[in-house]
Amino acid sequence: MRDDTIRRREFEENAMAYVDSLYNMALRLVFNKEEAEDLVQETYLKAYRFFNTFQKGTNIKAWLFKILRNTFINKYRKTVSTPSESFFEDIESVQASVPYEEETKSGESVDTLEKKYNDLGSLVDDEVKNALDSLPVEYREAILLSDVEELSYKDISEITNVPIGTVKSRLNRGRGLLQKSLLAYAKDRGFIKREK
Amino acid sequence: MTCNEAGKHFHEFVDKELNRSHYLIVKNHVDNCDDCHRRYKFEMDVRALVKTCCIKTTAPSYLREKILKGLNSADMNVPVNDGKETIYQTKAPRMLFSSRSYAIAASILITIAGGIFYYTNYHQADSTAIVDDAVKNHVVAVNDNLVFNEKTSVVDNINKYLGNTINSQLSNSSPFLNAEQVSMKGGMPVKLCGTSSPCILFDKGGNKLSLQVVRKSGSPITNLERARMGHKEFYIGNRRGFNSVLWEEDGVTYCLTSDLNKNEILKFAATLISR
Repeated sequence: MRDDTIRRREFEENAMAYVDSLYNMALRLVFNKEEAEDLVQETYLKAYRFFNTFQKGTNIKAWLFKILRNTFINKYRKTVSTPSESFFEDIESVQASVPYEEETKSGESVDTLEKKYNDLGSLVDDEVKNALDSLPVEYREAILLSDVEELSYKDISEITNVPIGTVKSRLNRGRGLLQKSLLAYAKDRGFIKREK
Repeated sequence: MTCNEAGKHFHEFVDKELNRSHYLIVKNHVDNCDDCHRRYKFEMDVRALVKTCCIKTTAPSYLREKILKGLNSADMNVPVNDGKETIYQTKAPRMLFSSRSYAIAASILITIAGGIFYYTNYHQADSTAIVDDAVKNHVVAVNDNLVFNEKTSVVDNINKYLGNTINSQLSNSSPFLNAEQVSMKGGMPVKLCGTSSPCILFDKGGNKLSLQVVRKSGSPITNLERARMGHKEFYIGNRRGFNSVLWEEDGVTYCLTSDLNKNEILKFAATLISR
């Protein structure tokens, strides 16, 4: 019984700090507050049950995200098939570096970047969220884990069960797409303002 | 360094994922090149925008309470199991699985597979039951692969892992992996046909395979499709869209499960046994 109390305390001290982080990710996965809450709760329950398999000294936040992700897949994408995903990865890695080189080669002028920067300032949260939510889920989760949670490529690769190279290409492509759609929102706003 | 070269590693640079010397080279360029510096600022701004937008959302306060309540009810089940455990311990040395088998059983009640214990009690000698068990374990292990560690990413460790976790004798008879493109992803203890087995996961180009064993299986493999590859006989079963390949070696029945097609999984099984 005393062991249980220690275990419980240890779990709460280490894991409960990430409720907000997990909830945030859950919300960007299921787009629904109640379901996100359920998902987070289930994640914690599962993590608690499997707490003895957690290797002390490793990143508990990454571990929790992995459980969240697995729970999400079990719940919502039962029919997900791995072969099609690996096919998808192949295509992805071939094109991974394209958006970047395009950008550098075209040698974006000082003006556009300056303007881009100013435009972004006008975006509201909903627009940023919409831009994020419109990304394919693989890109979205990679960006959230990297930009918001600031996890390392290695942790992200462990969480999402793909090689580090794939994490990189997802981030590259995802960020390219995200920037594009953010700028599109920004442009729309500017346009509307000017018309008024 | 040119802008193009810097651009290739731009995200890694911004994410601070380059090694130190490489990082300094790129940084030197970015600091001195107006275009790249602007781009760096832009990248940082987008990241900051996403971050600030996301962290504004916080979980509702009642969620924390709900979670803690959930943990309470999970705790309430523990003492019941504790009682059982002490009985087990006096009977037989089942220490190895005492807490874990409870954890597995509990997760199964709530989540997917359901019924490993059923099979530990009611398993038949029929080999289709092995396939049934193996597929269930496979699904749990792949989706619930909660073992999150480093040691498992090294291919050579399979023998050590098999030996340490389950039975030191097994390491002598366990297969060697010679397929280099395969990485070991982790493993968890499971029950296969009433005996305890490790369930070791492999990753082959994104496809997950799991290897489980039945020690001292005794009964020959029956009711399964037979296939020959080289000198070795394999048996193939199919459940719920997963293929399982079984083979025997030194009295141990190995069972490899995956959603790969029959040919590929057979080929993989063959690489596992060829030394």
